[in-house]
Amino acid sequence: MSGPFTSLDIALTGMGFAHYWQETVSHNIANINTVSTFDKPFRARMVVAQPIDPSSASGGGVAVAEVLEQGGDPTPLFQPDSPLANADGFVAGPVVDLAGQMSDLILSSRMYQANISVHKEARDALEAAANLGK
Amino acid sequence: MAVTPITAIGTSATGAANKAPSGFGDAIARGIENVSNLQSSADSALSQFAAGGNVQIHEVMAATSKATLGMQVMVEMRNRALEAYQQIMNIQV
Repeated sequence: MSGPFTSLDIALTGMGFAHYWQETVSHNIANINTVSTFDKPFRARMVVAQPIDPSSASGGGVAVAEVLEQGGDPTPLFQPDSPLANADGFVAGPVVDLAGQMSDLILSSRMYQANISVHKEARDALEAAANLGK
Repeated sequence: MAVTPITAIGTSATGAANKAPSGFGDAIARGIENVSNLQSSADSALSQFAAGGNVQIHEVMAATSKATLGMQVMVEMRNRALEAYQQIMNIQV
């Protein structure tokens, strides 16, 4: 269903998604030094986007479909004194690509800004419509 | 000539209650109700945010801007209606 505030609501879903994404990036960067055992290393969390109601003509925005964990082998770090070390003295480093996280950080904050711009334009248009014929 | 007495609102035989909702008055009433709903949702979002609830700041601001827009439209509607009324009142007889 499409109402007068549909574009505002759609922009809001974009802001919400960008906010969630930024939280995830923040979590990943905060764990950049988290070491663990090899059976359960820290893996970067990745947000999967999903369009809302793609059958409607204008769509309904975006939602978080699921949160996945980054694959790949953890970097072995030689820390023989660590209680988490295996028999060879290695602990599992985090599976986080810091450079990739920094680009995701820029992307998520730009996405937030872009959706704020959409919201502002839609609001200005509605305000102008309210003053029609004045 | 007999003068029919003025009946109290809502008690007349044709009763406003069993009249189908139509016309300018009903549209205005529904509009005011919508604006009121927007304002109460903005209000609850704000108080939830202030209480540290699970509400993001953009949700609060979006709710308040919706309420502002609704209020603006309602005030404009009132201005137009009042303008029309005053134009009729200014007709020379």
